[in-house]
Amino acid sequence: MSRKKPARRTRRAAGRPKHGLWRWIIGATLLALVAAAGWIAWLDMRITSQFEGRRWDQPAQVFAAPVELYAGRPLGIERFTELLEAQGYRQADGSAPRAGFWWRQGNSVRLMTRAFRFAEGPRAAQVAQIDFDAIGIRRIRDPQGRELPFLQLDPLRIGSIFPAHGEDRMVLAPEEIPPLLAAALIAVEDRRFESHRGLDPEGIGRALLVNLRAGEVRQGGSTLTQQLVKSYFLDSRRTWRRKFTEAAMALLLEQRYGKDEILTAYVNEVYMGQDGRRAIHGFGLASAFYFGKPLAELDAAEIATLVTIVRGPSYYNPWRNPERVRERRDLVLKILAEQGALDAERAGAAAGRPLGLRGAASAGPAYQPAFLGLVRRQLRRDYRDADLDSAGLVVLTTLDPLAQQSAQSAVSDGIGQLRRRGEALEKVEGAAVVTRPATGEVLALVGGAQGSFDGLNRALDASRPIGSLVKPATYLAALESGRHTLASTLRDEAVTVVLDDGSTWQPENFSGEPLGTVSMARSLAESLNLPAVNLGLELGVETVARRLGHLAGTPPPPAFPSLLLGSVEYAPLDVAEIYGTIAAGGFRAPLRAVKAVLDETGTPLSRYPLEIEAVADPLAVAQLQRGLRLVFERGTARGAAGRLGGRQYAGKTGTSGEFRDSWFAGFGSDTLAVVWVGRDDNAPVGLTGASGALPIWADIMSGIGAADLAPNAATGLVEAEIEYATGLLARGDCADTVVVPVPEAAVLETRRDCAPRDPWDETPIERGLQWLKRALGGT
Amino acid sequence: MAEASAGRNMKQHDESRQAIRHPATPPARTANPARHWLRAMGLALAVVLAGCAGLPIGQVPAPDAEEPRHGRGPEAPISELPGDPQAPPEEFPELPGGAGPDVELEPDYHPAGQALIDEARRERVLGRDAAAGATLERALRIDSQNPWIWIELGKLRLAAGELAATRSMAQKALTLADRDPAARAEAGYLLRQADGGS
Repeated sequence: MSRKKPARRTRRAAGRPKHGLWRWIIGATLLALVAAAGWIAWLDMRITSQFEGRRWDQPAQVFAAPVELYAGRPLGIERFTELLEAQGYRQADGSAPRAGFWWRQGNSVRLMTRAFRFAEGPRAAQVAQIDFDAIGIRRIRDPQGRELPFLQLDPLRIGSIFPAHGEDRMVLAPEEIPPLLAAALIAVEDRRFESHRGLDPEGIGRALLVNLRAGEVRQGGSTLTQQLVKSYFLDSRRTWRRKFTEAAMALLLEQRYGKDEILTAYVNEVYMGQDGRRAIHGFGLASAFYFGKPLAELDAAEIATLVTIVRGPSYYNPWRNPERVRERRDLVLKILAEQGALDAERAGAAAGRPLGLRGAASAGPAYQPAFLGLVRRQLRRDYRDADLDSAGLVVLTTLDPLAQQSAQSAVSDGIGQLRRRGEALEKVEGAAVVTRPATGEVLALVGGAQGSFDGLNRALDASRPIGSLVKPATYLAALESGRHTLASTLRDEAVTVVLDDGSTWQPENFSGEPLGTVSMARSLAESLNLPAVNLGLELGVETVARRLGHLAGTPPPPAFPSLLLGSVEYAPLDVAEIYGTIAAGGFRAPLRAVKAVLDETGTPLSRYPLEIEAVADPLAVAQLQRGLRLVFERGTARGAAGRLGGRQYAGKTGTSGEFRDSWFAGFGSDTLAVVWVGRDDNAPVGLTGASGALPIWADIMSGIGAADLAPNAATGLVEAEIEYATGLLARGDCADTVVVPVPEAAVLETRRDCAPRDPWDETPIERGLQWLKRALGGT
Repeated sequence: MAEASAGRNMKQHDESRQAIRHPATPPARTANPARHWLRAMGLALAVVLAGCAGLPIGQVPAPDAEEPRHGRGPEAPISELPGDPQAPPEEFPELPGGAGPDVELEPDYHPAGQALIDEARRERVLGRDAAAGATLERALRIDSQNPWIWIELGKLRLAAGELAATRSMAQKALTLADRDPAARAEAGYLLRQADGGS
């Protein structure tokens, strides 16, 4: 455009007197020069600011918790090698040990970890041998044979916090770029890169010739510098004006920066593929995306594959067009061998290899949008978006890759099975949260049946009525009042509540006639509505609401009577907080996904250490936990026994009105999981907590291998054998009994025709029989 | 209906502790001699009881079953205890305090958790409190039931002047220290320090 200006002005000047013509020509030329200089300065400013800006434009890198290995960990060798694969570790090929490699000998695995910078300081790569037995890890030794009490693997990178426009990348320093990659890019894309000044006329000429001969565009004559400029401005229009601007910018860039800097920028900038909403930029991220391991660990064939993909990430999509990619990769290897960048033997060997892409199954949780959503939410309290997008932060999180994998596959499989059951269930969705209640660490987060989908995060955002999940808050309030125990008799009778607006509320039991009276133990285990409502009304709805608020660490919900049957809405993550407090013995540990944030040099910027707060009476919680174990032994979760392999857990089912939401929340001694199943449009799905969420929950817990709930001794509690139905003290030989803890000072009533004997009056034979009956007959 | 005091009619919760807790802990702990000893004792007890009741041996429940409520059964002679052929003797860690009548009361904390506590103590001595805190959180991931981890966390909070957090950690340790008098005493001391300082 600006080139035409002088011409126009010259024409206009033509009618003027002759002696003024020269002046005009000179003036116009000067003007043109000034305009051109201005244009160049403007271009220079644009390209420089882009280049400089991008150099530091590093999305925060997010890492999972490191895998912790120690003697006695119940992790089998097969599962462990799977885990290594998921971490991007590779089986050694017999060469000298390198970081990120493992090899197996019988029941032992030797490996070399990768160096990593933790918040506590850098950790060097470490060689170790791990011996397994039938139970799990038997011992860990260093190469000198000394036993190591524990070994931490380098954490798995699970994604980054990339800006809204979706560009994700892992920025590499010049020294992190493998020499073979640099050589391959130059050999294939821009042979005269080292000598040209941004443009390569010879290359353009050659490309023109090739394209003319072929009658189609086969080769681009663009230099790497031109390609870099092009990708900076995300404009693929092929106009002459664009080409001209790009060429000018390429020349300017070469004036200002060295070849190394330009190549590094190229390696970090270039578009390498698409993963849903996320655009994969740069070779660092591409290596993780396509191969599941760091760029430094790629072999010649894998580097050649990436150099193939950069040509056209869509055309050379290795999952969609593996043959096309292999052909081109082998060509790249051949070129490398011809140019002496790779010796012919290695190139030949590499050419025969399969692509070796990460498989969907072995990939592990490479990219976890749901969990990253929680990370982002936690970080936004302390960091600006711009810092997260571009300041090169390192975020160390609590994600447990194994738990995430188990939880995602349990939800995906479980929802898949439900969807096949019928029309009402075709659109059913699910969500799950797995935590370590003692510390508040979120181990896994599943936002929907489709794991990699970066959409509605139901674990965080789907607030739904929790149904009977609310009841433990009522029972806890009752146990804390000191007036009730699990043996208390509750009224299972119809009740009518007059509401503030004059209308009435008449809750009903889920099924069957009211029993009249029932033990608290049974009422809790079988999730009876009327006893829970009667008890809640006796305690006061406000008391229950406050209890719930304490457990959740949020303000109490509005105290409507319908709260007692769970009309209150919580997201799965909130439910995990509530049940986490119960699982942790009454100590609430605020849930957290981030442990520490480091800056790009590895200096800790912030840490999020463990916090706990005593919010409930530990003795009342111990009793409640026993009641929640009865849910599995006697109550609504009986059906899960087959999926749990004999392990003992505590938990509760929840079903909201008209079967819209199906919930299960439960825990072992150190893991808690919450599962929600329902529809996004809130339509009824016809599932109870037991038929929808419970099987998925059970699959998560058994997938993780969650430890049993070991009942803790609590000074101040004694065990009582009570009749399950009535709560009266009774004997197992004449009544259906359960053993529950009650406060020492509690006064219990006895069933007269089946009164317990003083245990110390019994003969050893009687005691033995009692014990055998309980041990064999306990369900 | 007759009323009866719960305390008189019921077996003390404490007595059944060793029998309940050990089988319920993860199988990872087989290398612990205390566990072997208890398991053997439970087995011996089961055999004795089954013998008295005249039941065929096949009906004897596994000693790991949920409800063996009798803490102290007849003691089996050492020579009859089944050994674990797979675990060579050098695998047995030294028991602190040596063997003796209080062996069964010795809490069996996870050795890896203990090793991390030791590391955290070293870090605390060196003034690296943040690192010590992170190490203790690692220890919790291995054995969150070990009261000493919470005590150490409490000491870090106390050093940082966070009294409310110190109190919470001490209270948590107390709820886990039922079988560990030393931990109870230490947690109690920590609690008093937190309260005294406020």
